[in-house]
Amino acid sequence: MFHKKRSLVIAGASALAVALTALTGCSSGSSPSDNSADSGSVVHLRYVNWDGGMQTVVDEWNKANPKVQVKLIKPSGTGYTLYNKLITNNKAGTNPDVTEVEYQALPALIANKVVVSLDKYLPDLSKNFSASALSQVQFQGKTYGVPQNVCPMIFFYRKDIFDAAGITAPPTTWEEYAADAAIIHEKNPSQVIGNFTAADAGWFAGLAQQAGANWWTTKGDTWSVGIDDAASVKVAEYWQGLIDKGLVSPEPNWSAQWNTDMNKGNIVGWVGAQWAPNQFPSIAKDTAGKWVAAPLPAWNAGDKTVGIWGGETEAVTANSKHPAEAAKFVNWMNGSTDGINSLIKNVQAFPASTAGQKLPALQTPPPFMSNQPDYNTLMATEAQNVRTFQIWGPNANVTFDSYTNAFGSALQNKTSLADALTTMQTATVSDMKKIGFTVSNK
Amino acid sequence: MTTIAITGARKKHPNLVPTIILVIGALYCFLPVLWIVIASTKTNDQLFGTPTFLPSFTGGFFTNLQALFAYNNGIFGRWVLNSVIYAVGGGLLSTVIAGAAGYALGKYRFTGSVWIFRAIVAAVLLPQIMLAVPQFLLLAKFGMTNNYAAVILPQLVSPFAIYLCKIYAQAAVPDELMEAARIDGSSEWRIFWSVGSRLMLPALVTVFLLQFIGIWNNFLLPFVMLNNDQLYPLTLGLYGLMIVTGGQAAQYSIVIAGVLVSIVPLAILFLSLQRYWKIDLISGGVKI
Amino acid sequence: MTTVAGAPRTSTGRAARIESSTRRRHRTMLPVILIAPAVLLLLAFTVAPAIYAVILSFLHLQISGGLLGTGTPHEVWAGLSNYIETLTDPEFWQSLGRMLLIAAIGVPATIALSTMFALCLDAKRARLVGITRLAIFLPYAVPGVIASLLWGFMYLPATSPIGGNVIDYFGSTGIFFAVANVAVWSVVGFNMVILYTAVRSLPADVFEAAEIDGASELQIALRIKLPLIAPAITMVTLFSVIGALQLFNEPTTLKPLANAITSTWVPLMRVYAQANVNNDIYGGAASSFILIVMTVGLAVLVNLIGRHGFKRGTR
Repeated sequence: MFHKKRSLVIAGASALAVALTALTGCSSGSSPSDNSADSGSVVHLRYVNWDGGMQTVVDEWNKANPKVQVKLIKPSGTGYTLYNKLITNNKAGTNPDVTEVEYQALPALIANKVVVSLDKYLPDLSKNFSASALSQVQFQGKTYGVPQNVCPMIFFYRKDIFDAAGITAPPTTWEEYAADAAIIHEKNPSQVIGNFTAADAGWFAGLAQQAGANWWTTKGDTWSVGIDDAASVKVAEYWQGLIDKGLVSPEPNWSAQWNTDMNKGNIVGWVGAQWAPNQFPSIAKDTAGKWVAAPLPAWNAGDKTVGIWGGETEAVTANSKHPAEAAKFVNWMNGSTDGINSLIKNVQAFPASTAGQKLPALQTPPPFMSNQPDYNTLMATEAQNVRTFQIWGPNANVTFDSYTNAFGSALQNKTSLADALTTMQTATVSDMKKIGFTVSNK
Repeated sequence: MTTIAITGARKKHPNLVPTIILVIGALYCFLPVLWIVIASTKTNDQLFGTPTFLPSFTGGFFTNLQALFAYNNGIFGRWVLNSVIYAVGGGLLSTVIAGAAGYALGKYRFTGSVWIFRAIVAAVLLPQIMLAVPQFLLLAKFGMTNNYAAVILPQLVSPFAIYLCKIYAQAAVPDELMEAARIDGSSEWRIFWSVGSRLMLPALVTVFLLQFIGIWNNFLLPFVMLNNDQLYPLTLGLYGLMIVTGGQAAQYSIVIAGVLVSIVPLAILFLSLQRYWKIDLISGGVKI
Repeated sequence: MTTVAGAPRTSTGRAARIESSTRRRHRTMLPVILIAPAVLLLLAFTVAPAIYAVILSFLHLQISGGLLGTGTPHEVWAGLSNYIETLTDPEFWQSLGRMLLIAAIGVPATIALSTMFALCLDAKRARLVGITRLAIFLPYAVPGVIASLLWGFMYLPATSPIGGNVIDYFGSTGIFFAVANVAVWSVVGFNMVILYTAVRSLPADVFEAAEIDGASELQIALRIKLPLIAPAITMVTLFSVIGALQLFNEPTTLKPLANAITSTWVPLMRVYAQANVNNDIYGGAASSFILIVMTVGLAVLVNLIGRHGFKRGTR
């Protein structure tokens, strides 16, 4: 019996050794595409994206383009986890052809030579996109993507609970928001008007944008960093006030606790963004149809400016062996009527393309907001009012990571949020200087 | 003699204190696993709605399993297969390597054997995190990342396994037996193959199990090496599932079901091979 | 292939000759062949990356001018600046402190629990030994990441069966116990088995003599068995300490659930953040090297204390 077992072990091991060698060769992914571009043969592209519903969009392209087949890959991490992997894998040459890239991360990928410029493959985008939309994908005269969407920040609230508390209209200024917060909490101490999230730097950045901040500015080749400028500090101190009085929860978005609170009606408002209805079903399924979207409160009555939270483009990687076809795919998805229609239907994106914003598909509200048929009209209006930073820094990953740590600690230890901004500022500047960027700050 | 008589007389009543302590310990260790089993029977709504230790009998278990295997075109099944490939393949190969190395170090003295052994043991001190990115960069130079080999090769040398095999070889393969075989004209290789490895079998099975568990559980190495979700093992796939869905509560049920499925093979492996492996080998002092 | 190194086949003094002829076995290539795969793999996947990491720790990345860099960023010599940066970073020392705090909770708990369980398993007439031993060993089969997810659900107020809405497991003090608990839970069974085997291999006549003299079960356990397994306890402590220094999986997996855990909460998380979030593998390499030196120092210390304590115990 021992004899049999031992030969089994050895046989198994040798078989595996052989199999492994074979597997090394035929692994799917060590080269970006398997075929050379002979005319007539099929081009295979790999595309990494984490949005739900994207497979249907990709399927539609594949059906209409038999010569260029796209394979969708889900990454094992989103946001900067993915981007850093792209940077590391760039040297190994194993990156997929096309990747989803949030606007704030594009400069970092450009600086690390992970993505390539697409001007020679794309038509003139200024016909279809506003200057502010294009500024998110164009740097120093080169275009690196086609803007997919614009995500103005929006205030969502539980109309039923607000009405019961005697608040008949949503707050139009931040002063009113604070007042409403007090009313709601007093009426029912287990309810709060919203939360402050230390997990999403993009959220805070959007609020800072609304207040007029510019975290990075450039002059020629020199950067200036202003994370703790007056506008950002104003925002931090405002929320500090609400947190100290217990009027907002310090729970991070998408934590299980926050999900439960939203679902049970303990949190009755959300400073969110255009894509919120896409996320609501998995956060607070039981509250469908009870939320109403309204413009974000302003600092000064009548001021319509809002910041953005999120938004992305697709970019073509330097490792891609078929940049022309990849660029065509990107332009189809984000710039053509078919592609945008598919995005609207499957991913509930709000297109950045001006023609896209007029598509009839937008007349249907997202399923979660069935109670608000003119949801997308509101989005169209708000999209006109967005303001974002002049440019995102080349190391926004460091900034975003610093935000999570600094603000997380501040919430935990009940220290000053404005000081957390200074921590972010210091971390960002020193990192930029270390890599060799010219920074005007001391 | 006298000892037997004494112990025989005392066999009557059980010793409560150690038994109770052990039961509490067992409950502590088993509780979270029990929770997962119960939670996997609940659908997503029931997860947050019903009392925690009350299992649901409304078929939530099967719904969850179905959803799990249907997710993303059935990629979960692929992940299970990958984990099996990594763990069985890596386990077998590293057992062979450890067995051979342990035998060589335990039964022979040759130039450098002492230092090689010390180097192997010292490797324990290097944290995987520090090595992961340089390993990746080195493999990248040869274009060998993002495939099965990239995940298996770095895990083939286990200092602990070699250590185990060495001390077991020293204890279980008598010099006299080897010498007798030599006098009878056997080659060294023959001795290793027919005598040594057969005597080392309990250690080899133990090592295989330990390596299997270690590779099955490994998260960091696949995370660094793999870009393609078709190659992910279970640990990476489940973690990604939690993260990519933005921690959406809707996916918790699938994650919970996935966690349960990932524990089951290991539990089965343990129980079925209990007869064959000497868990006692893990301690430093070996009594065969 | 016959490789007998000329041992004469007379029957006198055979045992002695067998011993010496085994040592004279330089002629055979077998051990070298047998150990070659292990050595090659070790060189390729441990030594080479380690050396590479050391080299990296003396470099850093520079862009080549321009707003977003005109060429690909390249590596330049950084001297000791990565090391200095790590050693002067207050966050590094704080992460070290937090990790030591978790170790201070977790290591004694692991040792105490595994020793207690091992002694209980060996107690006379203890019941349910087989099944409890298996149950306590079970967590070893659960991957670290999965174990953290499991306990994460157990700690969350929304799903917690252990009073999560009363006790704040993710609060600033609670979090240390919460993280330590996951680590302890995962390894207590493994360590228990090591110690149990050590106890089982003790010669039975020592405690039977004590039993005849009237010592109680508890006295035997504490005064006789415990000191005799001191070397095994030292080994368990050593492994636990090294494991504590390499703490990573548990806080990383719990991080999305807890505000209290930052991305640099323990030293290895900080290394990971440097390498994979800040894209600074050079700083990460320097930090790792510093940690390794500390680990070695601590391991030597634990070993010395263990040996010294052992000597004391047998006096």
